Amino acid sequence: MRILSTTAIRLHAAVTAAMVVLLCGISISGQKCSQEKGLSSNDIRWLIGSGDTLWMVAQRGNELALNLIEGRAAVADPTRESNWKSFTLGCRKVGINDLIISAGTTVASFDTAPNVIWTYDHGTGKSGEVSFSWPDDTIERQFTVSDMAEANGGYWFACLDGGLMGWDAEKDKKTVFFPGRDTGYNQPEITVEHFPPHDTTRRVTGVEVLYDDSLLLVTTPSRLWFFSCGDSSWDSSITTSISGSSVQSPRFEYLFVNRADSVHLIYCIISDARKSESGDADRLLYKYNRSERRWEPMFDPAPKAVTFGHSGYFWALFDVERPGTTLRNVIRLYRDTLGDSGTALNPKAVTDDATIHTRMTGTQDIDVPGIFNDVLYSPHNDTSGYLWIATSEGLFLSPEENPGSTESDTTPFILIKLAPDVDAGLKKTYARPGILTPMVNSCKFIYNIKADRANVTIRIYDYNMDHVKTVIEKRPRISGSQGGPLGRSTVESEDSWDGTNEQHRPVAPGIYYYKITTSSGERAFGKIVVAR
Amino acid sequence: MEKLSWHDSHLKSAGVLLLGILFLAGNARASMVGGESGAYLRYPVGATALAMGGAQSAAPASLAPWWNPAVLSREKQRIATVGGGIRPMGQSDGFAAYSFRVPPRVGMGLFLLYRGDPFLNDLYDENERPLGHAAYTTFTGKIALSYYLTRKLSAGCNLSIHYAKLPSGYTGDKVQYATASSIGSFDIALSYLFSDRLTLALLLKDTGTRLNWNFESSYDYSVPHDDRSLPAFIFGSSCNTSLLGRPFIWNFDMRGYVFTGEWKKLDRPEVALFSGWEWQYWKEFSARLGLGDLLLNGDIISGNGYYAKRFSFRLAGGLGYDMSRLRPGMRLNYAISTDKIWAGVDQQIDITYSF
Repeated sequence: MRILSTTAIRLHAAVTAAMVVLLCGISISGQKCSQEKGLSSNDIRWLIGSGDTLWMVAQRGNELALNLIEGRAAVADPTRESNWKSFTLGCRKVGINDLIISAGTTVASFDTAPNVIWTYDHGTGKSGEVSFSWPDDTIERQFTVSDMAEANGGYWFACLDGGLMGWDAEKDKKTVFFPGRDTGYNQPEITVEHFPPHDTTRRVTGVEVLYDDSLLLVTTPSRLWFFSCGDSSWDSSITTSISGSSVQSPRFEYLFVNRADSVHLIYCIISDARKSESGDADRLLYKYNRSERRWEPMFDPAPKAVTFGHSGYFWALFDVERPGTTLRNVIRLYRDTLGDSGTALNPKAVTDDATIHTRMTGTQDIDVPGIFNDVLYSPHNDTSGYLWIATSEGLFLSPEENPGSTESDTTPFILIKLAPDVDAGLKKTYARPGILTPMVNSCKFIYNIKADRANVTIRIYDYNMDHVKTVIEKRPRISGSQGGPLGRSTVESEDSWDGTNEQHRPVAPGIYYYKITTSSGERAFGKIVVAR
Repeated sequence: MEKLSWHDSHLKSAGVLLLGILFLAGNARASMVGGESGAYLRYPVGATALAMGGAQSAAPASLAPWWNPAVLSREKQRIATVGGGIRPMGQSDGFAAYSFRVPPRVGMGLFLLYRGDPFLNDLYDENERPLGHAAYTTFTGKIALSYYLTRKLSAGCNLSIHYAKLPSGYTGDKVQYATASSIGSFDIALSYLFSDRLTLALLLKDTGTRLNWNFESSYDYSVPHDDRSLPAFIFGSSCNTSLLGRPFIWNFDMRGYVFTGEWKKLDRPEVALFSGWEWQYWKEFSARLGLGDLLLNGDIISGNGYYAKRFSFRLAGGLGYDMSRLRPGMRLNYAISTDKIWAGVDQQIDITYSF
């Protein structure tokens, strides 16, 4: 989603190289996190990429893991597991708030580790951590690094109540700025008294780089600011009127900046803070009209993710369910040719909703994944690039996506997914995953029948072997050797249990047993744990 | 010992009662108990009980603190029982009980049950990678008290402690666990000697069992889950008579689930029947046979096929061996039973010592 322009990358390559040396030199606990070859999970939550480099944040069990693929040769063969690196950040056991790629270095921040930044040097392949210190008396304040940007030869961190922190890695100098105050405070000298009273108007939630690398766009919950890195000045003129809206108290939630063309376009998801408190606020995506100095509504409801291509093309991922509007797992291609001077509300898509789904399922006989989490376009020249889609069931790639061309509308995606071979004859069956948790809503039954075709029944039983649910009954399935999806008989959209009984009530925590029987006389048993 | 005769008025009464129960059961609709809390408490404990299909509530020969605390005040001896069992899917049991009488009117008992599945070796993560070894573990302890009200009627109750440990997630391939405990749940029981041969019992079991789970989720926060077992209403009868001149016992239990753990009426109450027979044809051996977990509900009448698809039962058998030659009062019991899903057979074995 956040693509640094290649120009910016070139400009800072030298500076970043120096940073890398320093970062690795002061890293304190890199050995705590493991790095190995291969993919860590099929449940991919979000994506960050630039050129031939892609990071994906994946959920595995109760922790998040990072996966990396980089280099033209590796991306050309993405289904080969050895082309991926997997980073298990077990030492953090926290969510990953943000991840940025600058030339040669990737930096990540964590949601419950405000004092730690994780770094990865693409040149040496080594990772490390850098810690910051905040005043001790910070119980009532949050200093989590929620967003990051790289500009003016340094990194800039949105530290919530800690304001905007600039970090010159070369000099290891950290300076904290608060919106509206031109004076900065050197971080080692910061005390509790330097912080303003608990005031959400000064809470810095996001930061993006605009045009040249000395201008930042900084988000607070109620206001947007331009921040000049050179003279440390603040300007809130961008927080102007919001047209066509009943928003009385705007909450600026998330910024998108389209840097693909010479004019940078600014988008923001805005909701009404008053309604947000009561939980019924609609979230809209607004575009900034620079000439009129106002925000104009573009999408109602707001998309879950947006990624920008060339020539005004962009993809929007929708996953919304509210009265009157249901858009589940919809990715649409749009084109905005109005520059920064206007927009239309809910513009007409270039492609229909089925296009992406058809390209996912077309030649591989698989189901549309249950949850679409992110979409990312990463250009490799002026007309085409990689289109990545992160889902709960793997990663989809179009390696030569050329938005607007009819060829791209029909080219099947490559599915990148962990799917080991399953012995035929129900010799090996299992539930994926075997433990249902508060974060895992359902499991799939993985099996492969021996008969070419048979009708399959799957039933669930509790500890006392009381019948809980019939998942499928006498449904036709084919053997993996006869063309079953991914070489199995499992039809994932049907062979799935959501942890409920026949009356659709959640079952109690405990051990559950499943029985798979076929009309050809095969049968198997297995176990599932429900812990939620 | 008198012979079993239909003309016996007591047996007639029991027959009428049984027909009434069948009628009531027939008007209950299909099972919804499967998947409700406390499934591990519904499986029979003890080889005698398992061999008799799980019908043991009215006059338990052993393990009375679990089956019916009301009979403790009528037990003439101290009874100690220890045993265990295994099921084809890996579920395992271990249990022990000790009961004694405090003359003239009080009986007491202690009971401990381990129940779980220590063989969770085939769990996989969402990426189809095998997880490390895992186990599901529960412990249940009961302290039982009984009071002899009249010659025919005694009452009892027990206080229970529950502990459970469940795989709840994983980091890498290492399984993590959540634990929960419950203190203060209880059973209430009445035992009535209808005649010399017929004993009736009424029980309310597993009342107030409340396991408070905290399931860890991502980002270091926990999701609480209040897990309350279904209370069970049980009617039990035990007819002690003779067949071909040899002692013969016919036990019958009806177990009904009407309310949720929060005492709200279930949408679809469930009734299950259990029946077991013990015949001591030989001096040292007694043979047992049982039919248990037999659901009778309104789906039979509706004819929609729903009942047939889910029809399940437990067919059981077993032996009791009098080990008095080794030590007076000692008895070995063994049971084998189908497991309701035809994956294999359940087995339990225990030793009871009366002294």
